Amino acid sequence: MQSRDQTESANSVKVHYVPQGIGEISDHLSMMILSAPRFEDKTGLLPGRNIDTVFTELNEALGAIRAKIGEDKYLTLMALSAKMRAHFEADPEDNSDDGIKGRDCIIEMQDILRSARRRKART
Amino acid sequence: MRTKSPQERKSAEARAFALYLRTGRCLVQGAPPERKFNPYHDPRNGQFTFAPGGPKSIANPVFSDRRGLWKRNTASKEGTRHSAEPSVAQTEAGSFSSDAPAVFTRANLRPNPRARIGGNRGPSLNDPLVLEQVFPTLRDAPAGAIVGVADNILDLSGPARAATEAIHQARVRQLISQIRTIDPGYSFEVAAWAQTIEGRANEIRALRLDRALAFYRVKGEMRPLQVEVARIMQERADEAYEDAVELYEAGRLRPRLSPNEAIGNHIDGAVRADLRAIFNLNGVNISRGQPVRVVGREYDTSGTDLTYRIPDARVGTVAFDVTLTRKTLGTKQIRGFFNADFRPTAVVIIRPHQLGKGNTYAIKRPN
Repeated sequence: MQSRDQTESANSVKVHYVPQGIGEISDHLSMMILSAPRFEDKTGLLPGRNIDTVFTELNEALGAIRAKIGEDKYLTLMALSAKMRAHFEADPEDNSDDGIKGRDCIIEMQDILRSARRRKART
Repeated sequence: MRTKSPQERKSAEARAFALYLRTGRCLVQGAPPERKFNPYHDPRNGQFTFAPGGPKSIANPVFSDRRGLWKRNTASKEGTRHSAEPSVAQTEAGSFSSDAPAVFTRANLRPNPRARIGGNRGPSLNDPLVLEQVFPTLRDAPAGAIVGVADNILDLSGPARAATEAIHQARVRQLISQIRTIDPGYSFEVAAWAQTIEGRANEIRALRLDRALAFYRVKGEMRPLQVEVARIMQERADEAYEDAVELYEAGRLRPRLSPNEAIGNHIDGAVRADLRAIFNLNGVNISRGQPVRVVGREYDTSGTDLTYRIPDARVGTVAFDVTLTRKTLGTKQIRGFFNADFRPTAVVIIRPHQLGKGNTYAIKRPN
């Protein structure tokens, strides 16, 4: 183990956790909205968490529910994910409109997931 | 008979003083310090000292031991231990040996037992291992009682700030030793000691979690893990609340729902997501049927209809819920937790500390 003064990128592989299902993806998005745009962990319990790991987990989780939510919703969500990442990468200090637009993408994704969950419950 | 001159009738001190007035020369030398009726003096200067044994609240108090009853063995050990410092007892007591039997001794300052990190009598209150230490009256509280969290018991930054480098390293070594007692194969390599307050807090946090996980895996003991889950959830809730409010006030978070509802939902979700990731990273199985769950359905099969509740987390027989609103036994959700098949002994309600005193508490199982 290295010093815990800084995040350890070497351990990033171990952090990889793919959310399972719509509920967990929604939780993941909540975590993202509060820790954007850097997505770094301050407590040292999740060393290596960064923008790459967070988006990898999100996209893999969306892929896992592709069949459940349907192709249209999946493609919309993936497009929003890519757009969100671009916004956050353009505003690493979180002081421009890109940070706000990135978070708007998250809220839009949560709305889509919520509607998908409702539709699933009805059927 | 020869009569004494007025000069001769004067005392030695008076004559010396007269000589001093006339010539400026001082004949009086080395007069012993004045002693008052209090027997406890510092032999170096005659100032009052503490009686043997007290006080323990300050470092290195000076006291006198006129009767020589005060832990001579300990005092000699102390003298050996601090051999770099000259022994005042040896160097100065001699000069006062004729009329001052008091021996200068370093106080036997025993460490505050409430500040210890372990040992034969268990951990200190700053390092709780069971929820009864986090919620002090939980064990004896009546059924259904609400028990508040002890002040700063879950805080790691404060102790990290107060600790010197040596104290921090001693804590780290002690935690590693405790873990190895449970799991001899445990390794924790430190290439470089943390220098920052955050880094130190992170090391202690990681080691405490490792210790709790060692208890869980090796001994099947879940109580330390309950404490660490409470700590993790509290820290995450505090951080998430701060971030959410800051973002909202800066106009960087535009919720579709009411601000409080949106902030609350994001906090809940963020805490749960982090908890899942932490368990995953540490190889803890949180799938259905396991005693450790994050957002798992807890069924109540006692009635005719199968119902369930979903606590944010569960460790053994304790359920955890992160919320902004105050929940009690009057809350349907909480009653549902207690009715679940795993029969929780307590439900811990985690609320951000920014909400004020009494934010986090435990509800003991009603009868």
